Amino acid sequence: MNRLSDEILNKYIDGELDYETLNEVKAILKESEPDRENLKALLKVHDELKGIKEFKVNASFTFNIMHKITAKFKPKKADKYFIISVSSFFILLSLAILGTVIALIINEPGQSASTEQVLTNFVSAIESFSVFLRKIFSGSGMSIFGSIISLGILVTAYFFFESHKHIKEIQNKL
Amino acid sequence: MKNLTDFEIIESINRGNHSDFSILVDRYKNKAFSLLKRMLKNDMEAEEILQDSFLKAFNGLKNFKQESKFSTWFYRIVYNTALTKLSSKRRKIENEMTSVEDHLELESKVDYNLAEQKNISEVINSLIEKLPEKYSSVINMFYLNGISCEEIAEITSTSVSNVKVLLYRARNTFKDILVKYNLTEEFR
Repeated sequence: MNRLSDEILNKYIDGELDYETLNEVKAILKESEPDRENLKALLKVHDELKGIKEFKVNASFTFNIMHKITAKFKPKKADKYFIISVSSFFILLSLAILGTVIALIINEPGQSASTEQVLTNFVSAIESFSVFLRKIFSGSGMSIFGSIISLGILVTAYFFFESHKHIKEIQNKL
Repeated sequence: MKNLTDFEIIESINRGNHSDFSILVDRYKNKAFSLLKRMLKNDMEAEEILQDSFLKAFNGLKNFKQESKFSTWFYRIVYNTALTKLSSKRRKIENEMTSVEDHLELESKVDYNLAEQKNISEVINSLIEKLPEKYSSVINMFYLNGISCEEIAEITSTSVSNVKVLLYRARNTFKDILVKYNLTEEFR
């Protein structure tokens, strides 16, 4: 008849018994054949479980994962470049306008060093610029300007649409 | 690169070397796949969940606190993703401590056909396939992944004593089957 429970034997195998209990278990194992047999069977299971099969995943698994990760980062970069290029265009346009105004002030014939004169020149440059803008936004100028703006909006909308479609595709894949 | 520790690889990935993640994938894919295959009992689903788990891990690397091992953190993701999949299939794993009487029930669940097995190792592998998920996952993590009972408890969000109960019960069931068929000495 077995004197040692399976739980005690499992703890014995895993080395989880305290010193006193361990000595008691060893003494019982010396005397009891059924307990020795039970321990032997449990040890056999324990040893066999150490060698359980490892399953191999598909050979292209790592490649597929890395491809998904790389694809995930691409649209973000593309968006970033698009935003940078659009904002750069507007910054350059503003700088060009400012540069033109300053150039007009500097190249004004008979300019004087006085602050009042510089301010007068600046105001007259702004006025001439506004006249220029008025010309653009009136009559045939307006239709040309409108066409350019419309084309710009269409091109921008196309790129936004394509970018959005690409992001959606990647999200669906993930 | 292959000799780097998990933490060193994670630091490199967080510095922007995303391709280094492939080292972690290669390091853990087969062990995690074995765990998933034994839990889900389906190759396709196991691979699908493994992909999800790696992508979740990659996205969460920035938030990974180096308080625990990467393996423990990663296997927790794998285990929880598999549980979500199982619950969606209405195959719940009972996490609560099961009663001693379950031992007999477990033995009846492990339906074995020894006529097809050539050696004891095949018998054991075949028996694991038949185990309910909560047992097969603990057996896989303990023996194949080399994870301690304390870490398994952390991964499965249960107590260490519960992990040991599951482990001992599975061993006892196998032992009883081997004894019943007189397989402890030699195989036929």
